[in-house]
Formats: sequence, C-alpha cells, structure tokens
Amino acid sequence: MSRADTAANSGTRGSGEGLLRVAGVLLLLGVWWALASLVLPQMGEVAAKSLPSPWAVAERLVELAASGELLVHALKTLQRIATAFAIVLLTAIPLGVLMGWSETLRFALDPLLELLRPIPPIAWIPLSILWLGVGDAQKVYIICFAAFFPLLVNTMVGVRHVNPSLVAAASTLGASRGQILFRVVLPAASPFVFAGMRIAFGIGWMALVGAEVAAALAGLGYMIMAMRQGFDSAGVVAGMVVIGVLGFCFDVGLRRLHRWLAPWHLEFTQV
Amino acid sequence: MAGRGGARTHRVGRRLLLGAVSLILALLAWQGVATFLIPRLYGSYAGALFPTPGAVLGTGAELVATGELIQHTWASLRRVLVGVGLVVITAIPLGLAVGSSSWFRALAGPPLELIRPISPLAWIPLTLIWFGVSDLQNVSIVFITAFFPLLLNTIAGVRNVERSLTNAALTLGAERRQLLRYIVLPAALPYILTGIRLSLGLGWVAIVAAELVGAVTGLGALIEDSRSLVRSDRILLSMAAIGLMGAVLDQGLRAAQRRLLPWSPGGRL
Repeated sequence: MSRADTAANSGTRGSGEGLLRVAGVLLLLGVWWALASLVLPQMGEVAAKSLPSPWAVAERLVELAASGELLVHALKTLQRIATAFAIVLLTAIPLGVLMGWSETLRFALDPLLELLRPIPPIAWIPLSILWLGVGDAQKVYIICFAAFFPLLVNTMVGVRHVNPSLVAAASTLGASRGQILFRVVLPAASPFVFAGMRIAFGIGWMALVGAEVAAALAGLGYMIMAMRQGFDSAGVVAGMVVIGVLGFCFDVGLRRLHRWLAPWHLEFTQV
Repeated sequence: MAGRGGARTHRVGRRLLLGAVSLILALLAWQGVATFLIPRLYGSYAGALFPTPGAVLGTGAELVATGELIQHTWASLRRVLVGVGLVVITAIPLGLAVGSSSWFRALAGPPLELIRPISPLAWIPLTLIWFGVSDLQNVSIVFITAFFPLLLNTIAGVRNVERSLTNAALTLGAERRQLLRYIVLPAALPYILTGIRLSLGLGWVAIVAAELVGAVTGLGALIEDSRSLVRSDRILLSMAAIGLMGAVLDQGLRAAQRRLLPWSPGGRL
C-alpha cells in the first residue's frame, strides 16, 4: 500500500476503510485464536500443543523479555549483522565504485562474480561451518556473502549511470579526478547505493536467520530452533514475532535514512 | 564506420581476454592454496577441508555416474515446483482481488502486512513442529517464501492498468468479469510473470535452507550430509549444482517471458 493510498483513504473514504482495516486484523487474530483454542484441542494433545493462542504467545514474550533471555539472543543477532554490514559497506562500495569507474577492472572481475553470484548464500552454510565452526565468524561470513553482491552491483550500476555531461562539465571547470569522484560521481550514484543497501540488508537478514536456524549456539534463530526441540511453540512464535519486528524496523529505518540523505531522489524511496 | 566497428571488436576482444585471464588466475590461485598453503596449516585434514579443483571435478563425475546428483537435484526441484505451483494458484487470485477491490484491499491488506515482515526462514522451526521432517515441511517453506513476491507483483500489475483502458471498456458496456478477463489480466501479465520468476528464484534458495535442517534427500540434504562426512569436495560440487540449477531456472523463465510477452521489458530486466 503506497503512501498516496493511505492519504486518499484517510481523506475521502475515511472511517469505512479504517473500520475494514481493524476488522482485517481482528479477523486474523480471531481465526488464529479459534484454531488454537477451539479446533486443534479437539484433535488431540499433540495438535493442541502445536499452535499457541495469541495470548499464550504474548505471555511467553513478556516472560522471555523479563528473564533477559530474549535480550541476550537479540543482542547476539544484532551484533552479527552490524559487524557484517560494516564489513560489506567498507568493501562492496569501494569495489563497486572502482568497477563502475574502470572498464579494465570490470571486464576482469565480471566473469568471476557472475560465477559466484548464482550460488545462494544459504548454500555456503555447511562449508563455512567446516572452515569457521558455528560461532560468530561463520555467521558474519554468511551475511557478508549474502549482502555483498546486491550492494556491489547497485553501486556499480549507479556509477555507470552518472550523466557523462556532468563529469565533462566538472573536468572542463578544472576539477581533478578525485574531485570528480567525490563531488560529482558519488553524489549522483548515491540513490542506487542506498537502494542497494536496503536490498543487501534484506537478503543479509534472511541469510542470518537461516544460518542461525541451521547451526548456532546463540542468536534469535538458534533460540527458536532450541525451543522447537522443547516443543515450546509459544516461544517459537514469540521469537518469530521479534525477528519480524526487528527486520521491519531496520527496513523502515534504512528507508528514512535514504529519504533524509537523498531527498532529491524521491522515486527510489517509493520502491 | 569501419573504424568504429574495429573499435567495437577490439573492445569485445579485450573483454574476453581479461575475463579469461582472471578466470585462469583464479583457478591457479585455488590450486595453489589447496596444494601448498592448506596442507602446511592443516596437515592431513587439508584434502577434506579444502579440495583442489581436480578433486571437485572427479567427485562430480562420480556423483553423476552413480545417479546421486540427478536424484537429489530432482528431489529439490520437485519440491520447489510444487511449492511455487501452490503459490501460483493462491497468490494470483488473491492479488487480483486485492488489486481490484478497494474494500477487500482495506480488509486483507493489514493482516498480510503483519505476516510479511517475518523472515520466511524463521518459519522453519514452527513448520518442523507442524509437519516434522517431511516433503510437506520443505514445500511449506517454499510456499511461505515465494508467496509474497508474486502477491505483491500481481497487486502492482492490477493497480498499474491504464485507467483509460478500463474506462473505455466500461463505456462499451463491459461487465466486471469481462473487464478482468480482457483488460486487467492481460495488462497485469508482465508483472505476474516477473513475480513468478522472483518467486521461483527465492523458492530455490528457501528449499536449500529447508533441506539443510529437515530432509534426507535434495541438494541441501546432500550438502549437509557431506559436511558431516567432512567431504568439502562433495559440498562444493553440490553448491555448484545449486548455483547452476538456479541460473538455468532464471534464464528459462526469462526466455519464456520474452517469448510470451515480447512487448514487456521484464524479460530483459
């Protein structure tokens, strides 16, 4: 739902739409509650335990937050994604700029990257475990692998899309190569870079959750996998909610940052 | 003109030459690291942890000959096709409804937006509780992963239908059904096909994740199995098979898109 929609809805067809929206959410909660509390308990003990009611999830969420368990795992996950993102920003953006700038480098590295790119980051999990174990280094490696290519490709495309007459004008006015790069090319490419950051974050987040679910000793993905072993389905759903909320907050945050840093490029913020 | 053509050939030649040189250098570097550096660091474990390119090729020939590779690839592919097939028959009708009816959009939008941010792979533990280690669990992860890209693309396709086309049809007395069949669906088709391509690509990633944790067949299970045997040559070979198959699926759908909808830019994106 785009921004213009919401504005139009709140204006012209105000309260009817608002009621429907609330009804939609209530319907979801109602179906969920009915399944968990009325239908599944009729089907035996195992079925009853396999889907917690919304209230059970809320209770478990409060419990996990109060005991500090949630915080420990969430911090671990956040620390991994922050480390990996810092590494990716510091490597993919410079390499993308260089590859966009120099045809020789692009021609040389393109076939290598095209060979590596189709391998999904998730498929690196077992090999990275052999090499690095199941700790932080392996998780950071998987996120880096996932987030690197989208940011690299977007940066490269952004640099190549810079209007050549801007570069020509700057050099006619006596700008040095460094000035052209930092004052003309990078600002012009920045919307692509920001868009690349959002895509990179989304893929990195998905890969991290996958890596933590597959094999870990801490982190939110590990937490829900461990709870599954204890058949604690309320805990599993509570963990899923936290993972969803965190991912959503980061996406909104990156979108805000993009709009704030590159307000002239509004069409990109709508994507 | 001849000069320009010459410059162009020269550029293509340079591209091929540089690409070939860097690929050969990368292969030599791999071989060098595997034969000189790793054995010095890890002694007799070297071959198990970091194979030479030759070892991977040899394993590949072996796995193809025994039929294992084909068998696991087919197991993964079948699950992805079933999962994406289920997405096609649910997400497209839902997307058409959400896109074309404003009251249904208001009703269904918020619940969908609540579910969407949950990372699809975070569903793995819950689906394991529900379905155990089974085909159904793997297919359900593919379904959850592939659902939203196709749904969102279908909605975008319906909402981007040119207003003048629907108005013209309405003026000529088209009913709601006819409008959907003759105007909305054909106009939204390029978006829908792009959505199917995205869904298939993501489904192919999701199946690997699902099989790593909950399967005994499939390429993901083959990798995980090879890890417990500490056979990095088999792991790398399976990774290559996953990458190749993903690329084949993507290129196949692009070709289909160009063929079916030559007017749409989607095939070239």
